[in-house]
Amino acid sequence: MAALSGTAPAWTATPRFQLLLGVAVLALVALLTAAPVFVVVVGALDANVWHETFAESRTNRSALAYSFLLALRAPIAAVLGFLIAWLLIRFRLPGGRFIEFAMWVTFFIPILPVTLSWILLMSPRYGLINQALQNLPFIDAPVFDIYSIGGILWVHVIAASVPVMVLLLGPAIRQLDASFEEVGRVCGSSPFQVFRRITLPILAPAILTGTLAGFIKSLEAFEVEQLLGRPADIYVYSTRIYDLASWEPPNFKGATALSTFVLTCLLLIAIVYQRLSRRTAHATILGRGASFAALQIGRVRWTISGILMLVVAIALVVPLAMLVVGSCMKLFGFFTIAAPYTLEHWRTVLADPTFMRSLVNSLVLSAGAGFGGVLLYAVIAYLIVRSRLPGRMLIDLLAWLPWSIPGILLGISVLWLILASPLLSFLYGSLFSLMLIMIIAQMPIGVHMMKTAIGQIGIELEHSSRMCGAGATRTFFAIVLPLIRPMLVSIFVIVFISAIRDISTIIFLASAKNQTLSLLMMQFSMASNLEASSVVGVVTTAIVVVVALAARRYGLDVMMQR
Amino acid sequence: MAPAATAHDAAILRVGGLVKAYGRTRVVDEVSFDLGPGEVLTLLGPSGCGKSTTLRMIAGLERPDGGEVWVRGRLVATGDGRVLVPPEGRNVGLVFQSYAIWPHMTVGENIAYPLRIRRVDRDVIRAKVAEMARLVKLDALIDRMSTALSGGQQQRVALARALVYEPDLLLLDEPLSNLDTVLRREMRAQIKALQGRLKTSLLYVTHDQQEAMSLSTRVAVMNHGRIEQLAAPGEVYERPATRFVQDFVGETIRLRGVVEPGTEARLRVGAALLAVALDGLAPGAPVEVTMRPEDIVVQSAPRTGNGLAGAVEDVTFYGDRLECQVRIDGADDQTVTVSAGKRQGLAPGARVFLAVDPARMRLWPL
Repeated sequence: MAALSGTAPAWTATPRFQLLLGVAVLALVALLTAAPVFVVVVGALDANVWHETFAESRTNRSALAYSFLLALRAPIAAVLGFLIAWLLIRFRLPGGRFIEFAMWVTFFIPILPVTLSWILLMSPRYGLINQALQNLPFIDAPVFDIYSIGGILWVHVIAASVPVMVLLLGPAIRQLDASFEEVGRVCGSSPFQVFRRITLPILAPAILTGTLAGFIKSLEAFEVEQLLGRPADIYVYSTRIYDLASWEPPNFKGATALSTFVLTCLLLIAIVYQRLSRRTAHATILGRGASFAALQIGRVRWTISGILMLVVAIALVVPLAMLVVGSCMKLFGFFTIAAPYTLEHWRTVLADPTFMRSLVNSLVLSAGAGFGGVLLYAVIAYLIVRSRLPGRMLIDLLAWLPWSIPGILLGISVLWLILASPLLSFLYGSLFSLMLIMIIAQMPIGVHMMKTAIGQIGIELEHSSRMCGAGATRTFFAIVLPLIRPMLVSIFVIVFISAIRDISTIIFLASAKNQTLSLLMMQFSMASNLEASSVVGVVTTAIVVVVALAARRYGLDVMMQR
Repeated sequence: MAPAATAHDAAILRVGGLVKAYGRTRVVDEVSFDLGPGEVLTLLGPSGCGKSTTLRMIAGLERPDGGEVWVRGRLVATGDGRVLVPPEGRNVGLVFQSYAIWPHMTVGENIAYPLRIRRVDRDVIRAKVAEMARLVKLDALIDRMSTALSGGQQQRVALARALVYEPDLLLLDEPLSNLDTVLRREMRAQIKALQGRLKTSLLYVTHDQQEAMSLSTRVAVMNHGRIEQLAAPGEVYERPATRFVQDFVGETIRLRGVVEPGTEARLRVGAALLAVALDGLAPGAPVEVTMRPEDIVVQSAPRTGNGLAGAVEDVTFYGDRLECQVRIDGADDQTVTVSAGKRQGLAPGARVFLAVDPARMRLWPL
């Protein structure tokens, strides 16, 4: 007995140790999240810059206007997404599981390759749809122009915003106790009346917060606007900042002013969002998670199912098919020339050492950010949820800060931070800097999901480990982490996929040395080498889909699933 | 401090003046007791009386705001925060009400965990886990995932896990309250047998007096953060030190009376005069007299002696016995509910005499 008891460490927790740990974690999180923002805002503390940036430049002003105009896709997508999610969840539709699954896959697909497909379909010069329509009588000009506000909106709504909304609103609809609707039916309402008078009002707060989140996130967009907006002289603030910063010499001052303005707007919206979502968090958990039977409906179900299948085709199947087709074309979009198909571009790209280097870089970046992020988020979330550290509320707030910072702003701020401090200059041009910024960018969702998972572990499972003689650290690794393993996998996959498809966040930190697949694809696109871009797009998309599918087999539970 | 430590070296656990406060409320208020080797001490009390908080401070899961905790002569916690050994450094075992069996491990892995933490040799671990599993009758389930266990089985895993490293002291926090009645009785017997065999000192927290009575060598009845009485179970039951203990432990029959002037050791309850030790109460003083229902013998024919005469008002049939509500003669507002043999043939309206031994009655000044 004595031999056994002697080995347990008699560690005494002094308040000073707690204080040190708290300060250390706080400093780390602040350095990662608040410091970049601080640098941007300080850079813009100059009245002249504001005058130059906004009063004298029409382009800057219109870029802001277009940014907010394009953000209006959030409410559109919220309506469509809610409708689709409701139909999928409440009714037993033929192929319902498949449609749900397709929405899930669409959610992960990078948007740049999809944009290429839509160029192939809707380019005013060679777009397949335009050509087909022009064969009809009375139509002698291209109907669609992808290089327009409408085109940009279309690509965003169909490829990203709607699937996101379906996944976001799905859980809220599932949580709604079916008895609310059943009571409505018993009282004599038709299904439509029930939807309008009961379901919709109850879920309205969830839809509103979803819309607000979509609004903030839509201000992050970069690559679609860059690819489709520039030819038509349409700038949004992200593409404008990119321009200002990549001029020779770069106009950093203008970029800071623009960034600060957008940041301020976003933070204000984000605060409203936080308030709203905290209130709805209570409002939506009405039922006791009661399971309900999906409703049987008559023939209409085939019609509904057909429409949803069409949505899937437009959102997922057609773009992917066109992407593969585009990568095999001699000249992107020219279907009518003799022998239009070739594998030449595949050969060229795959033989290019740059491609191989980018591929390796991308995989290392994504895996590194995934592992590093999961570990860091777990530690931060654990301290927030379980410790009594001083300043843990502040850590919580700071970890959430990047949520409202668009990738391009985060990228340029971290770049400035690196350039401004000699201590950090070793990071410049390194793959590690890209990992770091991806870890920062995904910190809000990562920490949030971890907090939820850790909060669900009964504290007694940890306490009994302590009683058995394991220290706090040992308990964290032997009990806490294994218990939230499904969540670790989910977060890893989310960070991995975000990193592999990211362009706007890492574009300022990239150089020839740490070039990634997504940036290579962007480069090819900007150089109008759309064939090569498609090849890289197919490869990237394939990696994303494989990872997402593998993760799903291991129980990745992204929102929609029960 | 030092002399105290040597004086109590024999004690496995010594708790002195333990305090836990939330704001101004003291949920544990100056609790002190010793626990000797092989002893089973129960903290008994209603929910919110501070018994679980006391246990958690001993375990190291809560920080005391006052007092000190010694385990095997080692100071492990002080109220001023000078010493606060974390739970893993106290070599104490704990069984939670929820069992806290880790769902990502098998039964065997759960039991082996404390030994692994202590870097015990692999073969020793295997042997000890097997032995422990046999003791709690889980040897057939050792490779089963712990999620596939019933409540009683989980309970036994928790016990095995807490005992396998031979802790100086085993703490049990309402370990049986999640089990059904039959299982609870069975587990109670098993804990008792296990304790008898391993001679581990137990500190047991419960609100169930039957558990407390049947398992403990001593019981500490707690209320509002304080220990009201700390004594052997029989003593607590027969001679409750306070009215709270009287009410909380066992069933109580309560009657109001007045000390009869001019007589010795006589108490008037309605028409009856009871012989009882008055403990210096002045004549005319109003008192409450309490007794256990089982100490009252219901006699059908009116008899004399120490007791109360009355009329049966209502009879309820319980299969093995009858329960009668008796209105005491001369005290119209006082009734007593007592058990009677079912062959006594009592019916409403029948005259009865409730005989009671004066030594079994306790007086509480009002």
